[in-house]
Amino acid sequence: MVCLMLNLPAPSGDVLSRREQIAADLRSLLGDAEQLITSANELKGYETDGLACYRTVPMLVALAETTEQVAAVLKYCNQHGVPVMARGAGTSLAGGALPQQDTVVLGLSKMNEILDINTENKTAVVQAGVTNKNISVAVDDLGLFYAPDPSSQIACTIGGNVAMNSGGAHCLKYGVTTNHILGVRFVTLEGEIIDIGGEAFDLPAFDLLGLIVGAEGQLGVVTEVTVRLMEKPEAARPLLAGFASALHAGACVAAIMATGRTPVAIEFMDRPAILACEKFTGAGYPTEAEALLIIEVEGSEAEIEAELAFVEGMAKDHGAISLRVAEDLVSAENIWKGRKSAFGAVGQISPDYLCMDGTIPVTKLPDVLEQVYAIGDRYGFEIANIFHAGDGNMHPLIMYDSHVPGVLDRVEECGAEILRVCVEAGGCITGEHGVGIEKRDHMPLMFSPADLNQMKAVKRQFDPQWLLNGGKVFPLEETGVPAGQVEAVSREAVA
Amino acid sequence: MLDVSAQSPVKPKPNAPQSPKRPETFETPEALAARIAGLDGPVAIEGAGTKAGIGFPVEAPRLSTRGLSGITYFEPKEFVLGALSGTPLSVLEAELARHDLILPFDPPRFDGDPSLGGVVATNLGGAERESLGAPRDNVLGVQYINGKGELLKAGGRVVKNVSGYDIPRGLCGSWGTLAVLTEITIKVVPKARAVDQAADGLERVWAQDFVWRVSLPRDRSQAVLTTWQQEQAAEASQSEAEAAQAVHALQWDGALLWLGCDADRSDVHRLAAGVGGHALLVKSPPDHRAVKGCFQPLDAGNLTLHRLVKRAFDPEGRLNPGRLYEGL
Repeated sequence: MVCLMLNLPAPSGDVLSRREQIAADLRSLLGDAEQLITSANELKGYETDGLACYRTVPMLVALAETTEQVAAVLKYCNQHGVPVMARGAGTSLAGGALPQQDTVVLGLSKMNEILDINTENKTAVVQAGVTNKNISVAVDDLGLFYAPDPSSQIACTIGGNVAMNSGGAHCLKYGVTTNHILGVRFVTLEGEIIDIGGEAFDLPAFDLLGLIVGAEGQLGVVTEVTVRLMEKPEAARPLLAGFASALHAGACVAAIMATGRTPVAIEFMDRPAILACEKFTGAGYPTEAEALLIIEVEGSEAEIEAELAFVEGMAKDHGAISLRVAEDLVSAENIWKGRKSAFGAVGQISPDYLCMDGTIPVTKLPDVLEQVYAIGDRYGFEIANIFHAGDGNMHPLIMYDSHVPGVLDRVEECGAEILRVCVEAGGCITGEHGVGIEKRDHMPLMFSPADLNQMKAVKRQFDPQWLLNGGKVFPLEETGVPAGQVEAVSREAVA
Repeated sequence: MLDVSAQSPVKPKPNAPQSPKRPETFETPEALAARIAGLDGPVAIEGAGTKAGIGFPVEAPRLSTRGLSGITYFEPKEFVLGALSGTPLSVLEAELARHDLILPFDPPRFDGDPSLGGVVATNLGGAERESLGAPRDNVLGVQYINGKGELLKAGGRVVKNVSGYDIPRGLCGSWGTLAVLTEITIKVVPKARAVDQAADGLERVWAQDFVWRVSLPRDRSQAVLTTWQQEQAAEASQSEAEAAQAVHALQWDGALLWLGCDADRSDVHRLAAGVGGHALLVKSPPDHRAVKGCFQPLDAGNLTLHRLVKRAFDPEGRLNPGRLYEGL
């Protein structure tokens, strides 16, 4: 994979020159030498995240085991002007966990305990480093689950989910992370530990949780999270429908959603994606189809039968050329298998790809798809579309070969044009991956300088020195980084 | 839909501070923004004024959003609706009903027909809070005026949107102290999805002179209720005991407790804080609330965070100063 050119704030020579002192101070704050990573070899493990083309080895990594240690590290960094960034599992697709050369990475992966499960309140209190999937696993026997399900849920942590307000396939019915967080233990840069919310619904006054969830770790560090748990449906079953054109499939999605009978998930894949998945996983996808939909319904057996009949009818009305209903768990898993490995599969058939994450109103799906293909044609790129169609969250993958001279600039332009189409259709530039470094420079497509200034005013109140996860979310020149003090990061190929 | 406004009008006492009779209204968001930018000092922001009986009084020129009325965007097939903030809820409900749709929140209605902006700015979840969420869960985008009088926007028209900080949610529950909402885009839902959890006995509670709304962990509501009943009874004098009214209602499967009484003999804020919940005094005589306050007192940490957010949106402290807490 190869990435586009990206600027980050140039590292502070002053901070780098104090590295030994900072390491010694942090070591004494943490108490256990093993909690501080200083060797070049080990630091390399923290140089990137799910957007693996950008790499910067951080200055130091502190692995916190307690909230108090998090507070101590933040306080120290704040007092000594040291950039600091919290990191969960490092699965961000937007570069949300990319460090800079002068950054202390505050690793939270050791804080991975589930502290409390309350079946009556249907809540769980978990540490930030607990993986998304493990919350659901821990409460499975109780007939409960944690609803937001990003594709990386086996690896990604709840702390990262809170930072990025993560989504997932089943958010169509259940909502995204912010709808499921009741409380957090929040640590400010000053090192103050503050419990916000708890097991009760909503907050007494300002919706601080609303601001903190999705702020990409730029306002403070969350070490514990109180999540809302949902009752597990009796059963769920997916249906696979193939269509003669992507536009037919898009129209089918818009028609299903317009009825208000929201399935739990509607996933879309077009022909390039189908072929890649089939080659990679052998999931039995209809290779003759130009597009397919995976539509999952849930409930009691009777409800499932009724909803499947409804969905089948809608698919037929929109010219479905093949239909497959999962009869049992194995066939259900088979249907999902291809979708869940889709990004990897596209990575197998194309040397490189750029993944977009725009959201559009569902009624605009057929129209926007047509425009996306037209943009791809104009630039000479094949585009595979794999996305959460029910809520209009598109993931066009622009496939290219980075060895072709000059290709990167054209990929960037192509992607920007797709995002512009999403915004013009009434949508947004990122539906669930977050802005990070990746979409930072596209924010002005959606927001005026004054709109962005208000967001930055919030950031400045919590972090006047821009130490926490800096260089992200906002165009760099807007964050007070002088134009001369930026540094281009990697266009290097990654094996 | 529960509307007991007829039984529970909030009547200001004759000795309450008199604000100007009629607030100033505006025909466009731009005009309201210009007014705020052009004025020096604090302003009192209101919508339809149905929750005027909650919070400390704000002594300042009254500016209302009620002139900003009308649906600006409605796509029934997308389940998205945008409207100017002063639009009465009844107007939205009537339009939605024509498409078999409803609002995803049914806020408590204390004194007439609230405005959309007031409902979002106060973020009081209604009967469907458990299944459909509070107002904050259903807000997709906002146009708003900050304390400097700048007309800004945040969020958008789609449900999945993580483009920048979640300002629309951040303004929920701010009661006009952070910004003036001028236009709001929300998610709406098919009528079929409504799960009505209207509580038994709520009308009787709302008929009392003092009404508390307590959001708390479900497994603690019974204990809080018992303590409150005991305190109410113990504090009532011999002569009052017979006539003393202390009634309650439960919503959200026990996670929302309504308490109504004829005299406030128990510190409900303390009871709520003791179990990790929070209480709001939604009805009380003006002289009482002017002294005691309606909003759950915040611990030092949360108060600090509120101050930071306030400074970010309203650095000079001009919007509804002191409505929620002193100095905020």
